[in-house]
Amino acid sequence: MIFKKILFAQFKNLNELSFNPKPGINFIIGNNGVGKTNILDGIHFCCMTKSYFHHSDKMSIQHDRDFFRIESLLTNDEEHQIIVRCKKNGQRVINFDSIAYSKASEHLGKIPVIMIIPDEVYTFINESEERRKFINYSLVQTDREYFYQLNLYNQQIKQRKSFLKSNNPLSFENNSLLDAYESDMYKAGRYIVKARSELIKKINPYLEEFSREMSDGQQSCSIRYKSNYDEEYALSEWAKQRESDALSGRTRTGIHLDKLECFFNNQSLKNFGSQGQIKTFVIALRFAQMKYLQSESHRNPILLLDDLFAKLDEDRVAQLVKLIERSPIDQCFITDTNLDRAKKIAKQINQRTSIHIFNSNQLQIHEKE
Amino acid sequence: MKYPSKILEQVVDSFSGLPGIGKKSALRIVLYLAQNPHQKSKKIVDSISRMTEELKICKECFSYSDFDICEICSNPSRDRSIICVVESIRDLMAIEDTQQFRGRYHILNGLISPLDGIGPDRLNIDVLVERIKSSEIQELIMAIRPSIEGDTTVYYINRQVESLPVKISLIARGISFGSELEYADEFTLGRSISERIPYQRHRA
Repeated sequence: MIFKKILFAQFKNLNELSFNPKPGINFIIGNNGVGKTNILDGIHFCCMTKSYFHHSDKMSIQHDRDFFRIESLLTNDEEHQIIVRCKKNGQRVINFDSIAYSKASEHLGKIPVIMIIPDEVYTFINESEERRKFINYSLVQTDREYFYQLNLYNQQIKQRKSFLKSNNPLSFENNSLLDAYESDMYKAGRYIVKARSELIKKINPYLEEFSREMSDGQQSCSIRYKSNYDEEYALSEWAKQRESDALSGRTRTGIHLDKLECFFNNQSLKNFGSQGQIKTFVIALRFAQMKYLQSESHRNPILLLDDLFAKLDEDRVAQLVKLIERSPIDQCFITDTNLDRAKKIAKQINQRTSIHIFNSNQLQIHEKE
Repeated sequence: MKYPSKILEQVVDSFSGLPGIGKKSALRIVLYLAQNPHQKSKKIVDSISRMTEELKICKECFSYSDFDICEICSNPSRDRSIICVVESIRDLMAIEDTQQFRGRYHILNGLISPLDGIGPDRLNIDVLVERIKSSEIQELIMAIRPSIEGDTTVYYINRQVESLPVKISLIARGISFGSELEYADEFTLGRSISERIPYQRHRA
């Protein structure tokens, strides 16, 4: 899929903006604060029905306004139109070719998307929540059942927690309602663990290939998945932990605590990795994720790179350019503050590139000299 | 908005906020009542006050009724061996409209959701179990909306009555009549395929 035209209205700091991207690689150039990242987030909204950055849709509405709207025109063999509208009261409507989805989740996976932002490099290494997000982000785009099971699991774990909090511990034993929640969590957990293990198995070879390529063969990365859920024991663990979970207000067992460990050359990345090695890892992992999405969905993903080149040295930039060239993408969006750097990189890339420059709240295409 | 009269304002305030009625609709209704003959308002006031004083809840099924036992429960021609369990009175009315069901009902008054402060003890589940124990009920039809809370509630009720000699069935889930398959959501369509029914049964 290729975005041909995107109209933003009252989306974050983009009051009225019309953007006509080209196939291939699009550089978006402008100073800090003009709204480059918001364009990427708007594209993300059209693909994933939500912001990459904010949990709540309201945060994406321009200050003092009641709604935002993003209208986009896409094309592959035929043309499609996606309209995203969000109101301040939380109402969100997504139209695909003029038909509104009854559930936004039906849209997931239609346009696979990957976003790389430099800040994430550090959170990814330090926060296990971010690593689980990576897994879920990959799977919801390729596996509808996974989305359903994850939703079920999260809902039931909340219900269980709420029940434990508001009831007398004496009633916990042989409680049919807790049994109901735990048996749903058990069934959903079984599906989720299986899907996650398979994902990691498929991503690892790509990750190894890309990390070697990015480091001239110096660095071979891998990830290891460790679940906190054991099919054999999960049910009895939950039953045993009811009282202590009630006291601590947490659920100590389950897929919500699954771990993803990162390695380079068989060493723990978190403990022994340098900043450069961590950067290489995270970027290689995103490209591996992209390859995975492409091979599962047979659709070429959209790649969004937010100000990534500014944070990399020249060698890494050159390697990254090579990776982008080889990737199965129809369209890529790259933001940068520096026009000269963008021009230089555009020259290196052996693909169709175009440069768009922010000029007094308009995006103008930069003519090649 | 500025009102010419405090009395008027008070009535508008009590109307607005009713389900589906905002400030403007409330004002329109109140002005209509104020302009029209005295009897109209009087009639409405009387009927409402009668409802608050005399409306009863059926002791058997928890539906609204004019009597201690509602018309459905006291109707001798209705099958006493089968009970349809529903979430609310509106669901009961919807099923009654189909004229397909000749048994009696049991209204739960909600679905289990501790997150919203609704535990099993807040619903009419214990009485349902008692009802099954004390009479000749052979089948419970769970006419509960398909949702995570709905499924949990059905599971819970099933566990409460599993030692009793009563059959439990679920309303069928699938494609609605006259709809297009391509527009059905994947869960519904997937379920319809995996829980398909023999054609002979469909024709009968």
